[in-house]
Amino acid sequence: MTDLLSVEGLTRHFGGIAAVVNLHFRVKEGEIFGIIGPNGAGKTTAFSMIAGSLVPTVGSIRFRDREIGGWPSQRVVHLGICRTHQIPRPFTGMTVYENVEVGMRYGGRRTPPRGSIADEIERILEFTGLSGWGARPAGSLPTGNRKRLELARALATDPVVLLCDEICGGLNPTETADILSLLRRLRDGGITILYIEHDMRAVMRTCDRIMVLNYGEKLAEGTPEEIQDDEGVIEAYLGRRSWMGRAEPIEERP
Amino acid sequence: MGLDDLLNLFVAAILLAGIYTTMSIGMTVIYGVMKMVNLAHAGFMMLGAYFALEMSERLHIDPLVSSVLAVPVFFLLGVATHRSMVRFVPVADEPTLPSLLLLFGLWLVLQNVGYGVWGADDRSIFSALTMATFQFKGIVVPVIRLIVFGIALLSLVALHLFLHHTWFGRSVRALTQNREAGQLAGIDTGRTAMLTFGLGIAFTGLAGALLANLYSFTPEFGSSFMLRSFVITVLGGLESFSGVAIGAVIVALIETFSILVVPASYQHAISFILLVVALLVLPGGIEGLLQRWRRLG
Amino acid sequence: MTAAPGSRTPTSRTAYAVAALALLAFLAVPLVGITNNAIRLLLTTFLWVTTSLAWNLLGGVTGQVSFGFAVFYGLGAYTAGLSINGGVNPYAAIAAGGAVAAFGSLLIGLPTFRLRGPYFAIATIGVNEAVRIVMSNLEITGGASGLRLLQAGRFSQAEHYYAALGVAALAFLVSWRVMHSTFGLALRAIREDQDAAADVGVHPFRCKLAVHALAACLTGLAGGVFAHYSAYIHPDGVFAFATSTSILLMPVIGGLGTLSGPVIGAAVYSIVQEEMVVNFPQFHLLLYGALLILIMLFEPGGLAGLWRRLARRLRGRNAADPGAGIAAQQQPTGGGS
Repeated sequence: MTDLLSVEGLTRHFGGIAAVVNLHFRVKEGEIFGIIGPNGAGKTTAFSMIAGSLVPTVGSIRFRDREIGGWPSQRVVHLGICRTHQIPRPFTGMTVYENVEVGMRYGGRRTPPRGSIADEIERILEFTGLSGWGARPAGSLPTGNRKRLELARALATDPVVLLCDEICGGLNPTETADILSLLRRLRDGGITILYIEHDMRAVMRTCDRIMVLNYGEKLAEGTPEEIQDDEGVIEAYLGRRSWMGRAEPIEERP
Repeated sequence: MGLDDLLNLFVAAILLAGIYTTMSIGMTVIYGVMKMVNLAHAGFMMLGAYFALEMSERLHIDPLVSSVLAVPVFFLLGVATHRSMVRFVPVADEPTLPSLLLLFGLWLVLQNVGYGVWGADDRSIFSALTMATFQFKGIVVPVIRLIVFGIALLSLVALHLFLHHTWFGRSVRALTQNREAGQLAGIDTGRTAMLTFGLGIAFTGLAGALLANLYSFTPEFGSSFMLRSFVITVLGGLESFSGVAIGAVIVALIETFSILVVPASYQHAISFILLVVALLVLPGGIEGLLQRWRRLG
Repeated sequence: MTAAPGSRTPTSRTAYAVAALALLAFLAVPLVGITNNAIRLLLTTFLWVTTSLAWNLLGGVTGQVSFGFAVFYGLGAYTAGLSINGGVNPYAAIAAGGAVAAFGSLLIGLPTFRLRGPYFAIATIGVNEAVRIVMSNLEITGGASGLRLLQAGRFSQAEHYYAALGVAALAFLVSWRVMHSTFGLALRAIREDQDAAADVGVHPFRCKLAVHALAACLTGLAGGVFAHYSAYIHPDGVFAFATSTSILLMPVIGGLGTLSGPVIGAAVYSIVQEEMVVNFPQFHLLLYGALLILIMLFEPGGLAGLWRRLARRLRGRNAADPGAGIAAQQQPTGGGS
């Protein structure tokens, strides 16, 4: 597996505050790469810079040997990098179908043949569990489905790398399990996933590798097992071992 | 153009800056707490001017005294406006279009009620002080401008004390700096917004009444001052109270000294062009504007 | 049931039929010999329908409120006026008006669309007034005393009428096409959430520039027809802030983001204007201000929204709300981080 995305020396200041400091990491093609850390650790800021919503103060972001740091999001998405938002931001006044259609028509790296768009959208809605909701105004969706729509709209852009920002936040265990299994299926289908999450169990079960951020800096990086056993992480950030130790299996739907 | 003339212009500009600050601070407090651009600003300034006129004509109260009386009256008017309309439109981290259009509608209503009540004729207030001047080493200062400047300055000092030494004032500052954190800290945002709107309108009314001492007015009065207030608020960084004073000085200086270079017929265009330029290239160190810039592609 | 937008649903087929019938009826009007006054009223209505639909493309569909459309109306009017005085064919002159207005919109849009919606709105107030003052002082346009068109009268009133009907029909057709196109989809996405739209590949800046130019062109055409019809234009008329206000009020009152709303708004405005401006010159603006307040407080969908709501109530509320777009947009969206 080769490096798909490599981030070097990424830094972002807001006024005098450094939200992300000198961050280095590489993401391999076809993995689920988790980013964890307490609130304000700079996870979303790092994400926003990769997705083009924020311009880095310094640093480099390379995607397939192309420097994309500072590119606006509408350009980044055409390379195949698309994000979802922690708090879903659906186009509330448009239908679910239209939400996905925007992603498909504008974010797609290639224009699909005309007739197939409706089928393609239907396929994505079905995959994300939204079939039957297509004609509903997106503003009327409950939280769980808003998260699904966030995912569906991003998938419509045919991403190579999907950036998921706390996509399970605020969901119940069943919904969480559903979404996680979707992410794994996407990975198995060849999509590389960067995944910010608060829910430790979700991260531990789903990610191939994990990076821990604290105060905008990288604290550790490795497989879930390595992270779980990393003394530095436990001491400096987790504080108490029991929190990690309680990794109960979560029920998964077939 | 001698040194004396330049000095005269400079003094005039500073005196103007005082009233400009008072006029813009009302817009700034409202923006700070509620993230609303008060498009009805001009309407309330116009009401302030006619308030001073009515008081002087009917009750023979000195226009300068009625400017001060305008403060409580317009505070109540602002509170009533908030209770009856403003609180029903959505607020967010930046101005929402419904709030903009609502206040624009209110401006139309106020202006045309003004036409209905007072007609379209130019009105002005004369008092014993209107023509009086005093001289100091070759600098001629109209007394009325000096007094208006004094009242404006006093109102700003009062506001400062108020913001720093009362519970409500602290809420206002807290919400201006960080709305979410303020809410988490237990500030009653609805109540604070209502009182803030009252406070903002009180300053707007005061400014209108003070300006009525200096200029003639019609129900159209205030629109050019409103645009100046926009410029000043933007220059000052949109929600910084001290920034407003700086913005006011800049605008007053540019306006006063532009007489030397810009032909009179284009004089009026200055504040409008300043507005666009200020919005575009002088983000004034505010994160919000930087964020607006960041999206260019 | 997911109907792909743009497909011919039964509703849109009825709408096509209604629009075609209305067009035929309006084409026949001058033939049946109604009063000149009524023709003049219809003509004015058509011009306002044009500007109203044009403004709606930017303000309603894309959510970018502009207080500066008088600039395009004025540019169209002056370009047409000066061209006609220079001996250009009136139709070509009107078309030139549209082109110049579109070009002007780029000059205005390039800097101002770097600002977010509400700040854009404020900036357009400044642009409008600055342009008006410049136009009042320019030599070639006749300055503040205005511009008299020399060749007026070559058109009969019927021809003016058809010209106005033509631009209104064009505005309707263009709006229709845009709102049912992929471009329209992007515009609505920008209205809903500009950042999220950019995240999935929409280029907000380019889309706004494009729709601004389109709207400006239509507004300029209307201005051109107006100049030719009225034979006399002056900066405090066509470039006035009050003209911008009117252009904004009509679609907002009628119903933003819809096709029928701006038309209804323009019709209501023209009729009210006609009835009131003579007897109560200030009262009509007071009325619009009050209407604007009421609409923002109670029915953000405007008159069209009110009509839909009434119709639903009469029919017994069954279907999902097709016009939820604007109403939903007005809901508080909260901060988001």
